[in-house]
Amino acid sequence: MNRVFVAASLPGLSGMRFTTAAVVVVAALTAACGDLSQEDLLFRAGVPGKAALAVAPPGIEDEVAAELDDETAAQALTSSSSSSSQGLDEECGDGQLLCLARNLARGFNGATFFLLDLVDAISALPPTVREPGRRVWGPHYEARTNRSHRFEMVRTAEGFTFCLHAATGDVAISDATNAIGCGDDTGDTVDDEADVGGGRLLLIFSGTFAPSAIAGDAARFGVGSMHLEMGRLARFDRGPVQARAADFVFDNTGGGTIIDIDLRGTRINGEQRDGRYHYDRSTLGDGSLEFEAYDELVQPQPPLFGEQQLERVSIFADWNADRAGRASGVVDGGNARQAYELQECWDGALNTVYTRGIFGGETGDEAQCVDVDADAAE
Amino acid sequence: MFRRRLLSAVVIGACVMLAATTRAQTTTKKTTERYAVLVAAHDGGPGLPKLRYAARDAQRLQDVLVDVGGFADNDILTLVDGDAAAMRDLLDDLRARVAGSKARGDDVVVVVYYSGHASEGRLHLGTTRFEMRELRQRLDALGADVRLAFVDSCGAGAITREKGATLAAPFVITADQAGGVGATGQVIIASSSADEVSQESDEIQGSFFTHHLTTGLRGDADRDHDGVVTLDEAYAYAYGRTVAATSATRSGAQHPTYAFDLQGAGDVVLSRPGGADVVEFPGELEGRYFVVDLDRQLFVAEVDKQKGGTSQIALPRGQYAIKKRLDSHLLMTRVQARSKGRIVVDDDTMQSVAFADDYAKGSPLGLKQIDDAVRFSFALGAVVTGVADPTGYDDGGLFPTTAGPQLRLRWNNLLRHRIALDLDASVGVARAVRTIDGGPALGITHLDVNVVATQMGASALWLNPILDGAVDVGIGPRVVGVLFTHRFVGDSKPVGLDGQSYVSFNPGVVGVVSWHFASWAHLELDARAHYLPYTVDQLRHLVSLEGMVSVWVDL
Repeated sequence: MNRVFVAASLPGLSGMRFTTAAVVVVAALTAACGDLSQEDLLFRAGVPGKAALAVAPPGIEDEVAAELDDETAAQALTSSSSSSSQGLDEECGDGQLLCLARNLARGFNGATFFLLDLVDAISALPPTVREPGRRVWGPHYEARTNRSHRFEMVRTAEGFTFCLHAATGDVAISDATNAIGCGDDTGDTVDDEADVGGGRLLLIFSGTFAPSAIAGDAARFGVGSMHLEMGRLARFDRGPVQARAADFVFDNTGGGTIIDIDLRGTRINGEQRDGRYHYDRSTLGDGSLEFEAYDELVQPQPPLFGEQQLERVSIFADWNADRAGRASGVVDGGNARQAYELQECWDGALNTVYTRGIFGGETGDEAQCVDVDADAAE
Repeated sequence: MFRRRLLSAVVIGACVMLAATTRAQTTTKKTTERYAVLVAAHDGGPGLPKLRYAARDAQRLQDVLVDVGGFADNDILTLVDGDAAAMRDLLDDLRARVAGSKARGDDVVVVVYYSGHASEGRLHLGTTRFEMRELRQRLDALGADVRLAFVDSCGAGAITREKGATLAAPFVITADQAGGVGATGQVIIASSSADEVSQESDEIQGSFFTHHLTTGLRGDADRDHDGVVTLDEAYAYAYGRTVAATSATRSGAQHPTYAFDLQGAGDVVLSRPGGADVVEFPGELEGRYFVVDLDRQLFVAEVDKQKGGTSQIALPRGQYAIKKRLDSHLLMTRVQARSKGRIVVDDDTMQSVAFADDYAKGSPLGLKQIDDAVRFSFALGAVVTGVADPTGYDDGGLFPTTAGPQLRLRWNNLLRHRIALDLDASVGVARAVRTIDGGPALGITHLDVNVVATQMGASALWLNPILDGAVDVGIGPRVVGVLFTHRFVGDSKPVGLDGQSYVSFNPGVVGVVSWHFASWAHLELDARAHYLPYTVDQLRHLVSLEGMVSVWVDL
């Protein structure tokens, strides 16, 4: 919101120079402010919504939907964690690959939902800078967390770029307004960090977004990418996130959701373990999730004297529109001296109908596993 | 135009009376000589506005003195825009004439009249000053049997206060029986009290006090219709009319005062309108009539006729027009005054004349008797508001044309004469489509929106009557605060947004044309243009244009 400050009191007018008084009077008579801007409506749609980035394998759809509807955005500035981070991981048994998939989804959703809630809360405030093609909010200081946030959006030829910087302490708005930002409208010159206004602003979230629409149900869905500095986020207060950074590429143009995630700088047991993840869900509800997880699945040999290590589980899960599906995984690394194949099938009620454990033990009847590919072909 | 007269008129002498100074006449065979000194001063010196009608007031009184007061033209000494020394010369001349008459054994009646600025007990004659105290002393020393003084000026009451002037209702003089002209002595009448202003009016082309005094002397003050206007009748008439006429003006009510020291028999007769041509307004007539001297195109008298009683005024030989204003037209008639005739006014025989065809322009025909009175009006109307965007930024969806009702209040003559203060409030609504151009990537989006433009404004209007007051035209500055609110409706709404708002304060100008279709109401068309700064994103210069029609009730 633009503001016009009239700095003269009436008694002072008599002593003012005529020109000064005239300027004051004219300013007072032509003061204006508001949010009645065409471009404001564009910026409202310039950041993807949580629904556009939600990862929802079978079994947590309702949980995700509840978080999408949760009005936590307004509280995000005054809370170190959003409701998205409150989802508790399940205790997964041997061969329960879908359980691992759900836990993974909760982790991703927690991070992205937290940041998007934070952005929504900040951008609901009047912009600090309102220029054609550009809006800046803050830095806004939150005393309880002793943290300042600065959010910026820039219109580009394809859509929008945005970036969120944070700093410990109270960063002065005047100093930080233009000292850091998302760069020009090419969207590829996001500033990483800067010492301004008595604090050190660090980039924690940035991205590009081409919305499918700027109004209606399709708003905040589209095509875009996001970069999360998860290490910095964890350093602020997000807890033990092990990845240093995450890059999201997402696409909602088909009506569903396709997300590719690269985790970088992940260290598991002292080792660099970067990973790539893929999630695809159609408008009908069928989809797939390909990911890697680490868990203590294989006992050391000999059991009492070996060191317990994490094994990598590479999982591919897919399911049909009825939510019935199957997941297959390969366990290697850690204490595994060979690759083990795992498999789990579940029905539409999410009851496990078949499992093959790490050492080949089976439960249920493999014939009851759905052929997802065939279902999709139909 | 309303005008303040700082001292306008002292008149000593009064009017008229001359003719016979007393009604209850004695049996003396003496001749009564009548002399008058009439002084008018438009210029009161530095810092004071020039008066417009001082000389006209003096002329009007002179006409009355000659027509119905028994004065001879060559016995009336006049001074217009002279200085204090010239006034002293005039009074010396008067004293010499009085002395001559007294040497011949005649009774002498003297009237002294002053119209001009005054302050702090001094009359302003240009840059020179004439002490009221000196004027009183000179009156005392004249040696005339009856001395009447009229001072028509601001603070004129200073001259009466010294001898216990009364700020009160009119008096009735009852003088003791004595010889000579009957009543003898001195009467001083001031147009206002010591701390009041005396006021001029463009409408009546003179000062309120002199206007009503002369109208009364022409016969309208003759309460008992005995053909003579006595001092108490004239004072009662001038007092009542002056107070009533000035009570609604910005300067406030003006109360004439008097001081007298008379001995003798009966009332002092100031004029004998029954001895001239008389225009009679019978009892069934009602309304305000104006009498205009057609030869001089000069407003002569105004008769505010109440139903029931009969009013009459005396007119010297000449051609006159009598006219009465109705809501839609005039009633007019021509009369020829000769001598000792009687002309009875009859509405039914008067000619209907359009305002534009008025052939007697000398009279005031404004709807209001007191043009400079502070008057209150209110109106209901309809307003249409559009915004022109030379930048092309708004395609009409952001500031669509709105229409709605408007409430307006007006205080006429509040700021200055003919400068009105207007306050208004309105609500305009529209259904519009916001067209959002997202560029090649985002395309065009249309959003339905309900727009409400709420505005409150204040303007100063300089109003001028044309077509004899039937129409007013005006122009003035205006500042308005406008709150635009957009409420998105329909299936497609922006993300997380139900509405938007914009508030601005806009300077502009307004022009009005008013048609007074009734004495209590008028129809008004207004056009407004305002600068509308649009400061979101960047400063854009827009112009809002408004048109409205409103019906006003004038209280």
